[in-house]
Amino acid sequence: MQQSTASSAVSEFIDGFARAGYIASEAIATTVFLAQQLQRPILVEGPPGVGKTELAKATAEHCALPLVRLQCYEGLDESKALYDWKYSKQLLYSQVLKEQLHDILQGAQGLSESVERLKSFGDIFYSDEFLEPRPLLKALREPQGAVLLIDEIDKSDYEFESLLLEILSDFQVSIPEIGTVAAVTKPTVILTSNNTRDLSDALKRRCLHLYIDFPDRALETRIVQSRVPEIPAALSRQLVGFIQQVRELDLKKAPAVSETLDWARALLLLHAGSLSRELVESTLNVILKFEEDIQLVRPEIRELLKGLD
Amino acid sequence: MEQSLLSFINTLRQHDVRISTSETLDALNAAAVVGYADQSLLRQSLAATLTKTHADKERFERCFELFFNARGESAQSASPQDKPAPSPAAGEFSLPDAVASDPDVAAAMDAPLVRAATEGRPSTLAVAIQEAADEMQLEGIRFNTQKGIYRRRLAEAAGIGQLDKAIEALKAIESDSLEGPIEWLEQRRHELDMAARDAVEHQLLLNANAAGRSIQQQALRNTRLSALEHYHLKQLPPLIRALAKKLATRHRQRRRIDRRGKLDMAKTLRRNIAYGGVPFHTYWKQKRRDQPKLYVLCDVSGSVSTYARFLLLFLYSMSEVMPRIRSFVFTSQVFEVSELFDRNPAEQAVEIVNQRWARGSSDYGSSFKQFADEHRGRIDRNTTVIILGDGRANSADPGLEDLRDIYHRAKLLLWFNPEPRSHWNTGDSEIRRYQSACHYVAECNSLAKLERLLDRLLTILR
Repeated sequence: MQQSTASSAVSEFIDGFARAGYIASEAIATTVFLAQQLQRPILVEGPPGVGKTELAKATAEHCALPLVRLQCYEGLDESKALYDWKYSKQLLYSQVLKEQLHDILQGAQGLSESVERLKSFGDIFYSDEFLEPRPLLKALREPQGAVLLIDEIDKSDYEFESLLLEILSDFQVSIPEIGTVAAVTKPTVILTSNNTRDLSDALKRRCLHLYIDFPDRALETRIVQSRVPEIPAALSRQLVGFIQQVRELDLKKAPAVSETLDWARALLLLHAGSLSRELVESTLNVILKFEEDIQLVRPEIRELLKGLD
Repeated sequence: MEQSLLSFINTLRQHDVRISTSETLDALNAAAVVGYADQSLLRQSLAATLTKTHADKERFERCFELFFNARGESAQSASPQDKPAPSPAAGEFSLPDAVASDPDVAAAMDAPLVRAATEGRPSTLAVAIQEAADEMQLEGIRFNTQKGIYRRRLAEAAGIGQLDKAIEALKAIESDSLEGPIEWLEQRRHELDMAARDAVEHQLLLNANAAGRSIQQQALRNTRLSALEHYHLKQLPPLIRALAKKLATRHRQRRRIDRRGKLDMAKTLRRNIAYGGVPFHTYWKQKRRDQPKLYVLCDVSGSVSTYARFLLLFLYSMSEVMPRIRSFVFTSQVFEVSELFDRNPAEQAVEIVNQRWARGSSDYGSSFKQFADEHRGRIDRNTTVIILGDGRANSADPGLEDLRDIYHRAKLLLWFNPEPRSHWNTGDSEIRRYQSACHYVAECNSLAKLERLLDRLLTILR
């Protein structure tokens, strides 16, 4: 492909994301573009609340594909992530069909003929009819393709990671009773991780890697203005400046982008025109979620506000 | 172009970025898709395909810069680290004839390095550094602390002494007209020194992650017994043993209650389909519980010497109660004492630890770094890390970043501080900052508090 088409495709992604309300850097757009070109999953890492999950939503919206989301947690296994059999339905059918079975087998000579007759009906109970697709299988079976979001992969167990390998490299799963199910259209896979543990090399090797950090001041201001367009420009600059300084402090949990947005909305509700000490003090709990953090920041507010000018 | 991409990947590998063949293919494909014309696009594409951690990404950026930009320009700049100021032309340095004929000066000026400098052959400096580096085996550098000595030795080997002599010889003449030349020579000397520094740092960067990283933990020299109140010795151990026993029994009882279960409906149905759904075999929901892992780090430095025995006994008692505990002591380095605790009775173990390691002031920064580097991979959601210490960092680097990394990985990161709460955050105490990287910071300076904390911990860990 020509280089000019590549860079125009990347800027198209940036525009498309912007329309979906997601302000993406060039690195983000390039990675998503490459992921679709090379048909590789993306592993997105970064501190919580920088918009890793949002990226998947924006990708889905931009590409007009359904978003299939799998939230990972400890103990997640294949029956919840991949597929399961509808046991109760199987059970019910087997009870109801008992009569039918009797009719079919009537007149059969001996056991082997009965088995032969049954065989001609195929594997009724282990067919699509009784298959309960979970997110991973669902994404593979979407005819138009899908955006598959595997959220917080670091929360899952090691075993689950290995389960993912087949899907991530070949876009197919093996179901013992049915066989191999390959993707109709290969989905765009986005994995997110907060890095609470190291992922296996095998998984990393199959993915493109994208690290999203807290946005810088200019980018965050744009994000605020795009998400909360009603906010006055001066206030949004002030508030982003304040948040950026707060992130420099030693906090248990630094305020995330989503908290910046929450704060912007809160200030809008309070009809604030500019940040004052009292205002910040009374709304500090919107951006800080630990009592220790609030106590640390409270005496600094005056200094921080001074730093804005 | 593919060839240079491959050699770039090779460079990355030398910088300890792990790149597999499939990733190489990915990178080649990505480059084919985006083309080579747009550098930032290429950089981002390669970054996405080749690097898989944040640290790798930083290394990648550095290498990319070095590799492609150094190639883009001519190979003229010998030291790619610091772009040196435009090299002086030969004409800029001249001595009055009277001075130049002085025998001392003439001898000093005749030294090869000085001559090269004065005649305006700046590349000679770089070559001299390179040769000296080869000769003295600069590759051997392993640790940050060796930087100073290597730098000095390198500068000397490259011939900084010759410049020094020349400067001295000129200074000895004491003439105003020589100020210019002296300053000029001093500048060259500075350049050489800087070049030596760069070379050392460059080599250190290359070596930083190499095999030598596994720091040889030489036991610190034996020191004299630290002064400790003797009555502690006799009174505390039996008390702590009793406490440990009590906790162990209570803990065991609770574990047994957990073994009752719920019926696993899905599994029971699935396994009994063959019997028409009549549950011949029942399956119970099992809560798989990974055994908790516990890491305890105990500060044994001077600032906690009054508490050290207490902390160590605490540590010992915990290793008796918790089966999978790993115990460490630290001052400026971290040493594992689990085995020592297993083999020796309490009093003796504490004595040995005190003799061997309790000395000097604590360096939380380097200790946490070492601990994090060595055990990062083993700290996961089943791991609890406990730090026993007063959080007095002696105004040095508190190592907050490494602690925070552990905090994010571990299930629980607790800090037990033997100092009374009223002393926290006074003087060089960094406990306030550490609080931001711990799940809980507790005051722990009496047996009663110890019992409460330990009891609660065991309850959580069940």
